[in-house]
Amino acid sequence: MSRPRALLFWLALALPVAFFTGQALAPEASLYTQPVLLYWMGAVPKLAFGALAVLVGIFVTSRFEPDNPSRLAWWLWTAGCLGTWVGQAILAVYFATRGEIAVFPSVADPFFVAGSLALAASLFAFVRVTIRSGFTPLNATHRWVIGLGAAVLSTLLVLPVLWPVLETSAPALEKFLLLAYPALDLLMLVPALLLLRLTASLWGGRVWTVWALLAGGILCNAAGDILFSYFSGLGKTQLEALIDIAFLLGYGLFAAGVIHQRDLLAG
Amino acid sequence: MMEPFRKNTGDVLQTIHAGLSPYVGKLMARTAAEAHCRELGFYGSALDRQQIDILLQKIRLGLVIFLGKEKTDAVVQEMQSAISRLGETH
Repeated sequence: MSRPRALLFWLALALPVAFFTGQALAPEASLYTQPVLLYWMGAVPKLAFGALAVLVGIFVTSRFEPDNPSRLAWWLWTAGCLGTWVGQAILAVYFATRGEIAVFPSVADPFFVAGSLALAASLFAFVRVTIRSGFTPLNATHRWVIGLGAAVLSTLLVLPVLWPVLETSAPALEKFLLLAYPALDLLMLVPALLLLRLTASLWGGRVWTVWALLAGGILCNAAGDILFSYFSGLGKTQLEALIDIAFLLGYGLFAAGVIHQRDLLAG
Repeated sequence: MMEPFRKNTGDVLQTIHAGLSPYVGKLMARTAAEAHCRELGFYGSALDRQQIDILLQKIRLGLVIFLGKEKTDAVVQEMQSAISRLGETH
């Protein structure tokens, strides 16, 4: 990405993030009392960054040869991004046609769930190919220890969210989905943390930048899902801005990561 | 007749290190080049053409996972050319 384009990209991400940070700090300000503005300020960047991630992801996948193990990992990652993008697009249609915000549960949920599953599978595939590359100093024992550590850490992060949701009186499907999202995040956090550790030794290289951005995107999306489940389950909506910030950063980092990978392949 | 081709191991590793660093970072570039050399049993102070080709092929197999075939071939080709330009050793 050229310098002016990179500047434009980060500015496009920073603006909505700054907008919602303002909402988190001063929710009573007049700027934040208009639901239509609030909705589109969140939805448009998410859809734009999501579409960018999918389109560039298709390009990146196609650039890897059929026998290259990275191809499957990138294919799964792109499919995961597509699933979540379709989910976001459906929510946007709900708002545009019926004026309903964050319809839950909805037709969008199967896409979000399928997308999350594909993203989790892609992360496990990325871990596998990174190990296979030989560019990691960790042996199998180290990897197991780190994997188990990541599993314990992720469980500690997700469990406090799952328990209160379990005790709510929400309908069965709603409760299932409220539990499914943090559980899927747990599934994604383990390989994401493992990947971050595995690639820490690539620090300073362009490959590291790609993995750091993708893993950062996973962490932000997981934070968004956890906050969403927590606030939806307990009916606490006053910190919605934090959910928007987490998802915006998640989608933005996904797009940045795949653009860096494209540059790596083509540059 | 083929010209003699023996390069100082340290210089070869330094050249590979320089070629890999932009992609896998300085630390991993150094570690990987040296580790591959050890794995292949290349302990001598000089490497011949065949040993260098084997070493580069090993690096290529790892790099292709991150960079794809086309880019990896270009990077390895560049390293090969830089090694060819190194002075001969005995």
